[in-house]
Amino acid sequence: MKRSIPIFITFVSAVIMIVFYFLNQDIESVKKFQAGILNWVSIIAAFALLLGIFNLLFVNFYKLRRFNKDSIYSLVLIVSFLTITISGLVDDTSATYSWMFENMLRPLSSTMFSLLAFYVASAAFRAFRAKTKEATFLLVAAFIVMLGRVPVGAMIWGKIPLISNWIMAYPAASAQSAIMIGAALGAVSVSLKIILGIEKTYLGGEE
Amino acid sequence: MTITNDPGIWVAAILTLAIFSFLIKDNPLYKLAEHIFVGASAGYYVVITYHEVLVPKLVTPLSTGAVKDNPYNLLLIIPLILGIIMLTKLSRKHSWMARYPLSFTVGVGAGLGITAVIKSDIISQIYGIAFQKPLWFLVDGKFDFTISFFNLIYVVSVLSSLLYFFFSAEHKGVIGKTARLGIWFLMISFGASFGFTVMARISLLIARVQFLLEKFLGIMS
Amino acid sequence: MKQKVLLFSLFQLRFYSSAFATEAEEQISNSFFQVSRIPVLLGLIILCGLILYCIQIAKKGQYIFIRKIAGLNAIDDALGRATEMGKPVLYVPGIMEISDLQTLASISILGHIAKKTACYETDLYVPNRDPLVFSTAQEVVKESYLAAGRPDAFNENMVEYLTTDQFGYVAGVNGYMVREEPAANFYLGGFYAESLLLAETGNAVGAIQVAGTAIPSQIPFFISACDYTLIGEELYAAGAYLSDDPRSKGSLKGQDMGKLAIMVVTILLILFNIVYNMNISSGNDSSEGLLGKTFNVLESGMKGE
Repeated sequence: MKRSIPIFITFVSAVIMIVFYFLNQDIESVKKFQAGILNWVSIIAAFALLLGIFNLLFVNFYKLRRFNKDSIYSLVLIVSFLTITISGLVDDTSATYSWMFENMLRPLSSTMFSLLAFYVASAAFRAFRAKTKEATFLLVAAFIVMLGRVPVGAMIWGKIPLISNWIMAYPAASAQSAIMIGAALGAVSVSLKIILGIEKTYLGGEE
Repeated sequence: MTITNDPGIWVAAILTLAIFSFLIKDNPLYKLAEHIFVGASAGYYVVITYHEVLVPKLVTPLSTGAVKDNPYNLLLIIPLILGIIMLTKLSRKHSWMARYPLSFTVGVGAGLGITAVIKSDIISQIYGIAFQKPLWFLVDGKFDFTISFFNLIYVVSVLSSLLYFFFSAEHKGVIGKTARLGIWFLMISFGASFGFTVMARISLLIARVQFLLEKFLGIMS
Repeated sequence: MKQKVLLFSLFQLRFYSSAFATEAEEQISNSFFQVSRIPVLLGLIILCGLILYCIQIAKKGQYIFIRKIAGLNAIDDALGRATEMGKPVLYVPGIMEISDLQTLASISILGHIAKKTACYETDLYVPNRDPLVFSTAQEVVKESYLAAGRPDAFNENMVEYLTTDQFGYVAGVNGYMVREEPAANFYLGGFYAESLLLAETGNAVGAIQVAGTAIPSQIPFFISACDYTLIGEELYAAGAYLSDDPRSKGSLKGQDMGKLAIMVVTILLILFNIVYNMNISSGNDSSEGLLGKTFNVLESGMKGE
């Protein structure tokens, strides 16, 4: 019961979504139904967020109670969580909420993202030391395409941007196409096994 | 150079430097920024979920007036119940009940996913190969060797790369050689997409440095 | 499956009858079904049919050969190393939702890895970005420890929710990596810009890293920073490969048959296109006649809406 009903629910909801995909998308009620189901999913996810938040707070309250040198960080986490949550829930146009978003979240996010510049460089440096034939292909293509996208490339040799574009449009695009086809087959297979209840790890227990 | 008096920019600049300091090594300043980041962003998503999902998609449509206008809104009681069942995860004894809403979500995902990938990753790709890369390419109604040859490379690359993904055949003999050709094409593609991204990532860094120099230190404005 | 077959026959009926119908009737006949999606339906039937057929064969006990996949064999090595060193194992199930098929593939691999860490008594840490994935992963890890006969070794803090924010999540996971120095890192699932942020940090702390994703743009970064990378379909195949269920091996064989079918269809369409274009270049007006009409039907059908 604890597993067979969920498997049945998965089957029915998947089959309904598949059937609706093939119905005429110009019919208003078909569109409404599909949008409605997606709304249902986002409502369920909203409740699941509560579970996540409960876990985050629980873990950090626990660390706070142990009272060691790291407890201060858990306190900071809880205080920043509560400040932005309370101010935003009361009024999402409030000054505190906007200030925290603008001066804390936004710079934190974009700085974290910008670290990639350094990491791309260190990854490229490591790749330069690679000695296999495969790695050489990767490296040469990366180098040409990179040069093709900066003015220096054209200065070295006028044809570099052209070759770079050719690599992107032919060997690169075609191999990506193969990856997508392969991955799609994997996805079809996983999805089919889930729909038919062959793959049920996501349900957890055997009961 | 005039360092700003704006406390907001000060906070933003300190947090920016705190994240950059991670590149040298882990330190208390990064740890502080990390905990602020995790806490504040988790809170931010609670606010977003409340204002953009719960209120407009559940609370408002279930209000008395809205239900009178559209009785179908009452169906929203189903996801409401499923959502509440999700919370049984908090109880050891009843946590298995959370499988009901979970299986619904997974089922919808699997159903939507299977048709979406067949359309966009299989049919559209076959269309792209067979109809947009003709091996007998015509320019003004005449055969064009160069482009036809390029298209041949394209087709060979797709087919050999696809052969690399065969699981039920040992990579030996003809299959092995062709799959090896496929790996080369795959590697060229990985290199190309690596090279393509580098400049975009560097421009992100430039934007952050610009913020520190212009907004915080007041240089180069 | 029966429903799909019924739907398909209805479809065919409508499709053929519409060829002889008057314009008014055609509008009605097209009113229920999205005719432009017929190729998707055919694809669905053929691919699912092939996979199901191979699953059936495997179920009957026929031996199915599956070649070794390097990245998957590396999973055991990485776990063994973490155990030897007495250091934890980090498992990142991607940043996508539970309804994403890559996440579901990842959850299935997590089940196998958790069983091993339970047997080896190695510490496991699974940080999450999506709350539904968090709650699923928690259940899966708990059950794997139970199945391995080590429920006592399971600890609620093994699976945590951090934040839904992409980079906030990275900040937290990177912090964990530099402080706890896991010996084996797994990044399996859907990844975007965070792929390299995670993998480079893991590389810096000296962990053995196994990654896998079907997002083509992130594969190069994983390749350059990880020891093994499961490329695209290999991620989906991993769960089946690690599973003892013969049906899973069958499904892998089915995927290969699907690839073969796709290759054959692609080659046939390419040949057809060559014939069509050669006909034009030899001066014939190909838009008329059987060849031209077939070309138009195929071309517009595959193109879809």
